[in-house]
Amino acid sequence: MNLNHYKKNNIGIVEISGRLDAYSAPELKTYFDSVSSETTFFIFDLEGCDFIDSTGLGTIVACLKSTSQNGGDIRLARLQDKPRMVFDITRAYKIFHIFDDIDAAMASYDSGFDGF
Amino acid sequence: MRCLIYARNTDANWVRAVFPGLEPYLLKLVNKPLLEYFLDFASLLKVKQVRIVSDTSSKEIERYFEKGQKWGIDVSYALAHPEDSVKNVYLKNISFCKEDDLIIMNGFFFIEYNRDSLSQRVSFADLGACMDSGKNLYYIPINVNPSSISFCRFDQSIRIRELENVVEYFKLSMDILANQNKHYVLPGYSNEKNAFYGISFIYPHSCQISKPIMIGNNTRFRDHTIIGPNSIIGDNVVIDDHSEVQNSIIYDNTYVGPDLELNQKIIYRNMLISGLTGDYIQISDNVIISYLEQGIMASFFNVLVQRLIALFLILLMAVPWLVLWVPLLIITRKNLTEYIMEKRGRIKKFCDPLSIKRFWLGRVLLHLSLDKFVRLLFAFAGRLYLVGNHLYVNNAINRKLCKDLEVYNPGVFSLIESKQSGEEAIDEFYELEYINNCSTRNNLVILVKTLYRRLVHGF
Repeated sequence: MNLNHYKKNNIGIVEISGRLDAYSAPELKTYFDSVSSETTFFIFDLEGCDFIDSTGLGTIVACLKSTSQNGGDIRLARLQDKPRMVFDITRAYKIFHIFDDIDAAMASYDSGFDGF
Repeated sequence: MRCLIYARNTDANWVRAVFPGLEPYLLKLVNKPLLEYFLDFASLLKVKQVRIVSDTSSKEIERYFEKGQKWGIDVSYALAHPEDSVKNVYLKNISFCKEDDLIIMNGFFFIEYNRDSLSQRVSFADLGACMDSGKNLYYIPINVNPSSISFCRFDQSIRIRELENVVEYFKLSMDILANQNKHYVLPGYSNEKNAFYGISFIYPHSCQISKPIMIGNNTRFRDHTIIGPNSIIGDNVVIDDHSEVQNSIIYDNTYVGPDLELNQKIIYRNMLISGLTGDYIQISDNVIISYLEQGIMASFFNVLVQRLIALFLILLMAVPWLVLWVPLLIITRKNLTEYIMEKRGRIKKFCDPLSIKRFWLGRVLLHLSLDKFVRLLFAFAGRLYLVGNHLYVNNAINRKLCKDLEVYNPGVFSLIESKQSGEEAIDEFYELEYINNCSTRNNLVILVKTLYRRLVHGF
């Protein structure tokens, strides 16, 4: 799994590519903990992520939980079809806001999303 | 009339990709293999002999259909070269083909038909259907040269339906279940419209089941599950608490984890497949979905731990067993019962706890689990597991149950004994639970619970 992070308009964008599974999930949590001090609002760009298992999903939920304790949020962008099935059957789509692209996810933060 | 089925695997490469390890012609449509529909069709046309020609190994097909006794048809098998045309296959099997009127089914497709009109048919001259892709069904009367037959005379009452990808397969399965089930012989008991239930199926009161539905044998739904409508659940399936399965297909021997929502999905082993798009993903952990298999039960570590504990229990029970050996012998000698030691049906006689329960000394023995002593010796010798599937009494029902279970490794102690006493009415559901959750730790929990239960409450 490869992880990359950059900031745009004070929103942290975490690019995740490869497999997010039981082996790589701790790496994501550690990485997220290291960047979460910089901002509280994040977008996880999952364009390059082709596999997520229950541990990987659990780790994304753990990241959401830790940032929401500080008033922040994580939104997901460019979720691919195969990992999307895991979000579908586990009902995780009810927890996360999932966007087709980064710009839409960014815009959702600008508009406050709920006030659309 | 005879029937030649050319089961060409080149037509079904997508099946191998999406359903790895499955013989394509044994792909189940509503809990029944595709090839079985071909045989049903042939049976309706009063075909007496069928030859199945495969371009790959036909072992699995042969194992399933055997000699065709179940369908009242004489089934034989032959092999073809993968590049053989239907004409070549006809010529290679000419001695079979030329003896009688012949129906040829060529390719990977589904035959849609109206059962009533087909069974009343007296003439077969117009029987035929074909597709552009070269998959076809046609009738060749005896003494007629096949080259003079026009393969594409189209019979309106019969339709060949393409099965070129998993999306078409999904649509067809749902269509058969919901709209066409009266035309086909579907497995399971059905005393209400659009509902088919297998044997040994259990569900709690909190489970909601909606039609159309097809549920296989030895299947268990746990609390607050919502199953159906439009769902096909295979054999030996466990669906855990609070999960919902709608418009979906769950293949045999599958565990579906708790709190899941399956809609328009196919689950095959640990493969999650979208019925709408055909996308598929292999789930590598056992939390969400998994394939029920032997796994830990036969692992070296588990076997080693089990043998060591068996030795410890033998040493612990040796003195009381020797002290009570003579009265025990008197009681047990007349109360030996045959038990099923393995799937193939090997039998061994052991003391029957239900019989010795009638005697006060017998009840003492049961409290101390001394009736298990001889079985423990077998566990130490590796001929039984210490904790495993329930050791079933040898009778016709139990032999079938053991054969149907995906895994039957009987143990001295079993999950059902740790939960209830003696009754064997719903054992098979505990067996599924045990197979699904088997681990060395769980085995130890079962062992301790059973010994405690016996000691405190007796048998």
